[in-house]
Amino acid sequence: KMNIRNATPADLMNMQDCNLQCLPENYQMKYYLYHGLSWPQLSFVAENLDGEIVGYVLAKMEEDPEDQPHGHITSLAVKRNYRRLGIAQKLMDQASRAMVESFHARYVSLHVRVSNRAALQLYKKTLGFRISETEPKYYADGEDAYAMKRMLREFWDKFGPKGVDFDVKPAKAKAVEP
Amino acid sequence: MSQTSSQQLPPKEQSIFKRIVKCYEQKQYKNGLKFAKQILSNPKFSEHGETLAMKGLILSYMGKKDEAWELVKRGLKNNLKSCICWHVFGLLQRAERKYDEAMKAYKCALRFESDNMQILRDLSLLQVQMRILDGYRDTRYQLLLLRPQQKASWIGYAMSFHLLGDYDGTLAILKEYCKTQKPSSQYDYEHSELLLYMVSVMLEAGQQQAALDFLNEHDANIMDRTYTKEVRARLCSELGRLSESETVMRELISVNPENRAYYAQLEELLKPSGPVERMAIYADLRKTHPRAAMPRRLPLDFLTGDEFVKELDNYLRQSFHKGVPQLFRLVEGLYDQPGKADVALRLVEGYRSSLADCGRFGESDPASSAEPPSTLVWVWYYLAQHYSKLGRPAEALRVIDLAIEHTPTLTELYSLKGQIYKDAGDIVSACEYLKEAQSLDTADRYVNSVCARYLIQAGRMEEAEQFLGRFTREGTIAGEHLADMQCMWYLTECAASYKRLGQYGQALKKCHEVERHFNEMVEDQFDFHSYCLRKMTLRAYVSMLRLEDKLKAHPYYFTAARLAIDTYLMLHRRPLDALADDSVGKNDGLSAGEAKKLRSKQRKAQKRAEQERQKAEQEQAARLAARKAHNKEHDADSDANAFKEEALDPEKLARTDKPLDQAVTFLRPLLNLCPDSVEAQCLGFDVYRARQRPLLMLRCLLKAKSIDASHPWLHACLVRFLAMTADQQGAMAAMEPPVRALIVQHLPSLFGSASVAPKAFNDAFLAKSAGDFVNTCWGLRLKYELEGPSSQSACLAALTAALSAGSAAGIERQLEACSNAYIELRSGDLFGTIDADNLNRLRTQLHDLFPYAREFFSPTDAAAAAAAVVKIQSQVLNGETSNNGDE
Repeated sequence: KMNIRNATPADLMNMQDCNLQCLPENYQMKYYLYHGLSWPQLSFVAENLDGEIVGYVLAKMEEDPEDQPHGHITSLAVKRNYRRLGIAQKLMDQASRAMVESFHARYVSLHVRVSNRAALQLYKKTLGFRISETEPKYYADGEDAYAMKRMLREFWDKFGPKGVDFDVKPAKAKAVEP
Repeated sequence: MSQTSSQQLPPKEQSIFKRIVKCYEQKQYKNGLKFAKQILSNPKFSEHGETLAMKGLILSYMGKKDEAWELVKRGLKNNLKSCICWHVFGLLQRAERKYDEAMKAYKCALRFESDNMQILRDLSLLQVQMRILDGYRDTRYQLLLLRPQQKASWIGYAMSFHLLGDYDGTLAILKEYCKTQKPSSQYDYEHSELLLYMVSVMLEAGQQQAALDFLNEHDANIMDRTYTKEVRARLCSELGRLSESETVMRELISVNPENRAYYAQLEELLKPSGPVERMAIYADLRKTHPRAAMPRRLPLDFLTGDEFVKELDNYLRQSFHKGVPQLFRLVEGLYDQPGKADVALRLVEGYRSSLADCGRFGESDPASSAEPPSTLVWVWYYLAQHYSKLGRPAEALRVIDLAIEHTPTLTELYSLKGQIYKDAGDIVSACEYLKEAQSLDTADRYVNSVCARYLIQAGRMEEAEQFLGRFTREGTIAGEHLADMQCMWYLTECAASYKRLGQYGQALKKCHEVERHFNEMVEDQFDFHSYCLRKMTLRAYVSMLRLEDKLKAHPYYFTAARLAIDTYLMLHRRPLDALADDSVGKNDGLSAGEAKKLRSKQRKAQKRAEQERQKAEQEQAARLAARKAHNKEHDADSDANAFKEEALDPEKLARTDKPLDQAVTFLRPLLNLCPDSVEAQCLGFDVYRARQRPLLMLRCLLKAKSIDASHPWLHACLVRFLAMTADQQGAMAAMEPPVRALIVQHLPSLFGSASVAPKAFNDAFLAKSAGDFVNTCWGLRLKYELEGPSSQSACLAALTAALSAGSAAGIERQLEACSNAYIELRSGDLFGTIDADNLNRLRTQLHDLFPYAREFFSPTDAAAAAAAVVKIQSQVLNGETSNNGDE
């Protein structure tokens, strides 16, 4: 019985704890606070019956006035003993929905290690991400990253603002793919 | 007068001074110093206070703390009427986190320049950080008067009222502000957040109707639709508009069908009369949300009888069929309800035999399709977890070995096998299987973390660090990198392990590191006080402030604090030098000579480990210094002015001459922030008992009793308190009369009578505790405490009897309590010195109950087990993974 809900500041420390157990990219508490206090709608946790955080998504908005509004997944993790329950997908869907709803995001981006086949599979097959480019030596240990994108049109149709067209770009925006 | 005149610079020097300030603001520290020198080298101005202060300030940012302080103090002495000198003095105090001193300095500065925005802002930040809320409100008022056109001025002033609990004040200020404010467009996130903040204040103030009206009025401008719906559903429900609330609740379930709270709220609205109606709600929801897991799983919590069997059967079959390996995790919660574990076992055992026979879930059910072979593996996997949870490791191992034999390459199976061993008390074998598990998936950090956790629990810290190093940054020491990353699980596990090993200094070091991280997290809020006012994320900001106020209520702090307090209490009872001759237990069966040899060996090993660590730390420091030099241009000031704490020295920590002061430091947050924890109060009692503070002991007892009157630890505290009050000549006579009177006054409410004897009180507890092993252990411990060595044989007999109750009393699930009791028994802390035969008899009894637990091995058991581990290792090496039975 996995409860999935918006992360509160009280969850941030437990997200950090989960992150340190699952992923090689770690951050100090202040970075979690920065996410939680800048974009409080965007991060989500999955908790089990005991209230243990078994998965989370830490997300933000990219504030680039030149581009369409878009979100970015800073970190996504599910503890190994809670995998294959669809938790990652549900977390990502909630984050994407919130990006559209509160920030009118048109797409969401993320980075993934080129060697991480399981994650790549999830993003590509289950979540509909596409590789937009390869960023050489993105990670501290020298590994390359795929930069990936997912368009949020389906979320827009359900949760987007009324009277705003998905395709109309903000006045300042220059033409960016796609 | 003369002071003032010498402090007045002529126009030329004044313009140079302005350039110093500018250089400081632009972080051009070297140029700033050059200009300062131009002024100070002129003998007429060599004592110019403000220039000295600025020079000091700049030096502080260049890391020259001592020189900086000297200059700033001298500058201030030369010009006590300078706003700049006081401000700089305050800034240096602030950098050392002496916030009270800094605030005093800022206030002095404001006496000479009451409308200095920068100082007012600096002051307001310290005030809110320190929660000096009325001062914060007054400063925010000054700022509002000075800058009424700025958004942050209004928001900050309104926020100060909210923090003081004055909701009407907050709302009045914000409504005033909103009159002048138009959102930049229909969709303006900051405006939307402001509106929702106002709603949240109304909710807190209990103004439901006003909040709902406000939501309706501003609906078009609010972007966070989900929060809006949550609030609307709640308001409608509270205002009796139930059908409207239900509609919104159902919309929310569509938005996120995995949020448990939504279902609870929907049930509250619909008020089903019993399980049948309740089930009907979920049957509907399953139709509308076929892919949601929650409506399929939730009814299992409330269904009973045949309905439960049917639903669970469906649920398990569907999940196994879909290939959900971690099914046990999803239904484990049901095991606390009587009978449900048995139903689950019957069903899953049924699938097992049927799958083995015909590859389907049920023979009688020809409609069910054939399952892939992997389904049987996950059924075994489930059963192994089931048996392990119920304290039946032999059966668990038999099943998991079947699974491993079938599919020898699955990480999960070895992880589980390790976990079964760990839960059965054999951490050594557990480590071997976790190593095997992680070798099958070296890219997965989670398995690596579990493996390292086991190694730490086994006391193999260096090996653990090697494993952890595979995922920490290259060129760093794994343990230190993890500490830098505030890795709490690592620090607390290490602390517990070091304490078990008797390396108290190392244990304390880890506990203090945890404490420092928590303090650091309190500091972390600083930058957000102004940031959130600009970003308008005010709801999140307020909730962050409230979190920070009780941050140390977090379980990790509790764990570290408890370890630290226990360690300090022990160091108080037996300071380290005495301990050195005592660290080998009385009942370990070693001769004095052997014990001495063992101790000297331990000491040498410790020394060697310490030397290696120091060497590694030096190398690390050198690397860091090199990197810093390399990055010098980038962060000229970030590190140099950063607050640094004194390094923690394990040796010094363990030899503190004030262990109880340290214990109190760790204790206070627990007492203040964990109002529901009876353990916190009992821990408090222990500390104050050591400090001989009877009134504080009494306070802990009264609080503990109001939380959980039946807790066995509280019983122990009560008996000890009673024994103290019974000591009329000693403890009671030493008290001040009013203290004694107060204690006597409370005895009836604590003990039911003013004159109960400690022994009678404890005997009553023991009589009540028959069949409860943990309580019986506590009762016997106190019996021995009260009655002394003459009670030893009675205590031993009672303990043996309690263990003989066996599974009727659920002993097989009390491994931890049994180990703790046995360890203390062996060390002589429980019933004093015990003769070897008695100890051995008890050990054998425990060994029969827990055949896997290393704690209860005889020397021959241990030798056999060591051989078994070698066998596991060689199998791992050879890639042999066949069934190796349950040795």
